[in-house]
Amino acid sequence: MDTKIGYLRELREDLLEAAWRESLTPERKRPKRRGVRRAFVGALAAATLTVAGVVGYVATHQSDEMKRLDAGSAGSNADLYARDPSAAVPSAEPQSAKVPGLSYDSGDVALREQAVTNSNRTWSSAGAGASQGNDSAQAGPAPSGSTTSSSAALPASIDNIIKTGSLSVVVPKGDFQSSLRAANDVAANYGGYVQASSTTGTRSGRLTLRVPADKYEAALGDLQDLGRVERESSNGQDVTGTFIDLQARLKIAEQRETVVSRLMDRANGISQVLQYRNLLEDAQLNVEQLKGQLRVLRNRSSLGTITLSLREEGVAAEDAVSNPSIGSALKHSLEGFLRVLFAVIVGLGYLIPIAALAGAGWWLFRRVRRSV
Amino acid sequence: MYDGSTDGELLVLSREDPDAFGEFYERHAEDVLRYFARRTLDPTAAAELTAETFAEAFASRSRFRDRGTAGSAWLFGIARHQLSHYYRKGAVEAAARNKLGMRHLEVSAQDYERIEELIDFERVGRAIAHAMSTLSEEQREAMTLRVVEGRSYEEVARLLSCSEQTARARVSRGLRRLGKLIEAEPGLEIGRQA
Repeated sequence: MDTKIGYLRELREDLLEAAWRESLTPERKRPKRRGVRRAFVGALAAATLTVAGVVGYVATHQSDEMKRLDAGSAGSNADLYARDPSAAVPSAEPQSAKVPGLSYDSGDVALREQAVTNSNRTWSSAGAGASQGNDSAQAGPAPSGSTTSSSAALPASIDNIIKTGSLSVVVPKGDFQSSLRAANDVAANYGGYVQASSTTGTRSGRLTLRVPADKYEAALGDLQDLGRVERESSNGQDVTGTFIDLQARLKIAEQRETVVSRLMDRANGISQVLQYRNLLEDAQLNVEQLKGQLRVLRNRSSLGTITLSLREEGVAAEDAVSNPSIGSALKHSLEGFLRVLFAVIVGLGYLIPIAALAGAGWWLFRRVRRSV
Repeated sequence: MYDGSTDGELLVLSREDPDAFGEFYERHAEDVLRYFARRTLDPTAAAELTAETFAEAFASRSRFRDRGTAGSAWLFGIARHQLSHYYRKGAVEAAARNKLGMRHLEVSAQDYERIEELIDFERVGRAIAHAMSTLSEEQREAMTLRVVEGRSYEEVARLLSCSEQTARARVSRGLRRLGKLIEAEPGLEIGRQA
């Protein structure tokens, strides 16, 4: 360097020395990059969780929709039994109930099946409004059981639907009492009855009506005519499957009962008799349980249920004002928090396999490129 | 090796190659020193400012973008920044040099004179003399006593037969006027950052 100023020459040496020192120890650059990298990773993680949350939210909502559709069309066994505390859960039947070689008299069973068939009406025929005569309840004594085969014991087509509905009607001022009486009459007119009734003051109340399934729509229509309909919803639960299942089980249980009692007749010795007696008691208990369940089912499906809320114009609806409490707010917030967490976890469940597949695909793609 | 490269190219190369930066330095070191010398009128300050400027240039060379603006323009931008810091604080920053681990360099007596030569004293002297001549008699006297001879305000007041307050006023007014005139002087660079 050509300069008269020694300072500048020295400065050059010092600068270059520092420069070379720096080029040999590049770690000083890392902290910057590490910070940038950390920020990048953090942002990526946040974005992934957000996307997972959205995916999970969409996924859980879709599955809820599916559940609702399913509940409408098929029967739900657990639901039935849960509602009626008197119906006990049937014990598991041993598969080898049928003893080969023994013929059994299924006549009694057939008789009962026939009665069941007659008391049921299909949904479509009730909708047409045609009254096919109310020959519900028992049919006359059927021909002797030996002519009926076991396959006919199960009715050819059963449409067993439990109909439930709720109705909210507003009547003009002063008409509550008369409307209430009219509602009671509706139940009686159609051969049904009032299962429960309650009033709040003299201007609003509730009725639970049971009407025969084939008269359900007609009764509903009459109740709607009482005043202005505020809310209405009906639900039909198809329990055909449950019915068939119960009937089949009942048949097996009764056959077992018969077999055991026959064996007991031929028993030798006290000990055998005692053994068979225990078995017989079990079998009989089983039969009773199943019959009970069938009764409940029949009652529910043969009679529809309408819950009517009646109130005069001007009276506040039952659940109009309910001040939210802090407790419920906390519950809701916790619910919300858990829901979001739930959605994120579900979403991750979706994302992780997709990411793994994408990563594998990308890696393969790169491999192919490199080899080419 | 780098003779044909532009300043911008040198700076870009210097990211990996310190020698490129050395070339860049050689091209501009004396200009930068002159720049500082004429504006500070202080050879030591000018030397330190030069050192700090190049240290900072080296540390931030990766931030230079060769978009056609001359590398020297970028360098003098850093120089201006250092100069304004000097004017504000009255001292030269040492952060960049410390970061690089550079030692503090002394200005030898010979270097001191040589740096002074970079200051065009003739021109500066003429400008100052001219400015001084525009001052009033009282201001010039007060300034000479206080600034040139370094007397206390008490003495100045006594010698000029006025109060201390008056003496202070005369000096400050004189300095202000002087500063304005020097700044306005064409071709003179004292106090200018441009």
